[in-house]
Amino acid sequence: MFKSILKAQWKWTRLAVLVCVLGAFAMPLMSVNSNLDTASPGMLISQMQTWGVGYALLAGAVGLLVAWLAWAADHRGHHVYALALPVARWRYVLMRFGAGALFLVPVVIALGVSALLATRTPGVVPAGLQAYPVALTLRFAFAALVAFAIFFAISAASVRAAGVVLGAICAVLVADFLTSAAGLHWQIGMHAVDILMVYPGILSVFSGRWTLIDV
Amino acid sequence: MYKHISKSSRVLLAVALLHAGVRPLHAQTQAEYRAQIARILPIWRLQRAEAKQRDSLQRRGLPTDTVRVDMITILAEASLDGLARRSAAQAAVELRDRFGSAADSLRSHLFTLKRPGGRVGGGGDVTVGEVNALGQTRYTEDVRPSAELLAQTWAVRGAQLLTGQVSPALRRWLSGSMPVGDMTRNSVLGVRIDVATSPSPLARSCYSGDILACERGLGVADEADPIRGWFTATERRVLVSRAAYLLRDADKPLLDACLQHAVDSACTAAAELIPRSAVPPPFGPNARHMLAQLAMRMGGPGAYIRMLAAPDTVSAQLRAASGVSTDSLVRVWRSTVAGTPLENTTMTPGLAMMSVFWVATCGALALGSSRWR
Repeated sequence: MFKSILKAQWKWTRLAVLVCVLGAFAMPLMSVNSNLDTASPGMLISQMQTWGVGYALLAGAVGLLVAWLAWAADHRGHHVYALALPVARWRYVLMRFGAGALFLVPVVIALGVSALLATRTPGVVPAGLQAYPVALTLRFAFAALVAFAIFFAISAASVRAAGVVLGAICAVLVADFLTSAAGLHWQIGMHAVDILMVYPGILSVFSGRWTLIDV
Repeated sequence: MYKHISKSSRVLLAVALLHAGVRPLHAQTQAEYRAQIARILPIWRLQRAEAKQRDSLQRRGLPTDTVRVDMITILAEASLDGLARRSAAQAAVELRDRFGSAADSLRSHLFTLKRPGGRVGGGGDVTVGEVNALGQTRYTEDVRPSAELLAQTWAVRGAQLLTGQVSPALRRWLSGSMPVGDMTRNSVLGVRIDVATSPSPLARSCYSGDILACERGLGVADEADPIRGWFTATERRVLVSRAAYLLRDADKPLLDACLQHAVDSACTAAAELIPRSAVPPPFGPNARHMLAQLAMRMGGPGAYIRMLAAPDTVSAQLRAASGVSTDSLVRVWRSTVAGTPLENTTMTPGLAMMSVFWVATCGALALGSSRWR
């Protein structure tokens, strides 16, 4: 059964995965090529960190697309297909999750190959600095997987659960607006972002240093 | 006539008349009158001065509340008094710590804190500024309303103003103001990256332990011929290309020979024409700031005052501040720089484990989802 789910899910997902593979392959090469004339190693490191935002966004986008497409057909069919199958709900979800996670692999491989190619070119890495293609690829893989898991859980949840998540986000935004309008410098929104983005927050894998070339 | 006087006023008038009847009237003596005037006059003068200042501030569109914490004076909007006080308290500690009693010269300086565009209440950024000698606001900047960020703004600007006290040689060497606060791990790491990746032979020698090379790279050793002593042929060419705007039209053939044909003798000759103040030592400003910070830290209280009183050379001033020889100071600088581990944090085991945890958590939530919509 997993094979047929994998096959059906691949049909829905392949175009998005292909686009992401192209993006992932282009990014390390572009980051290195655009910085060949950088004046100093210190500046090269900060340029590489700037590209880090791109890697994080791509990882988030891959996770979101693959997770959303994994459930899109079920949502369209009002989950009748899942109800008709003679398997427990958890097994069905696990198969969808496994299939989706597998579709992240081509994108990760594309990024890894490109990062290795980009940093193998002689003269790209200045003396005193090092290339980290494997570390960057691993971080990308984990970030894509986290994004996929988050959006997969939201998509798999009922409308009510999704409403609770959305409501919590809105509540934080409204509280932030009201407290700052009242002249209270509580910065609720900033604290909420810190909780999510600072280690060990759920999105902390997306923040911090993503550098292909570093000290 | 009495119907125009209110009931309570009539009662008061009656009580006053009765009191006058009970207590015999007597004239105020001249001495009593003078004593009373002497008592009231300073209060009246103070209040008049404050009212005048308030009027003047209002006319110039400046906030009217005055917040004074140690040497820092901030004209703040009433709603920002608390924020101004907290941030000034933090900044005052930093400035006192770094500049000692010399920081008192900031007392005559006025900072301003208000909401942008006269907005009243609410959140959003606040505008910080300064009042110049003509009473105009300048250097305005919008900052997030956080006490820490504002404290940093006051401290940095205070340090810039206080740097005006140091000798021109030291100001040139710093390429900016005296650093406030202590070195952070990131700032030291930045210096290490600069030195470790610098193409300068002096940086390489310094990195491998040659203290004299460190001193020369930092610009604290006597250098008879800095153009030849500090820079390689390639660096001289870069120096000339960066400072070409400072040279005259008459030097154009020299510039062409240097920049277009890479003739080192032309580059050396052109570099010698650049004003000495525009030729920075090979190690960047961050490295020099760190040396100044280290000298202040090693010197403890009074370091800045000793530095101001020292002879007008950078090495003498750093020696006076730190209380140790230049060699010892630079040795500590080098060991601090080299001792800070360079590490790449793109991927760490902790990050991997934490990611697995969140993936498992989200997966478990999805597995527990209902099949019924």
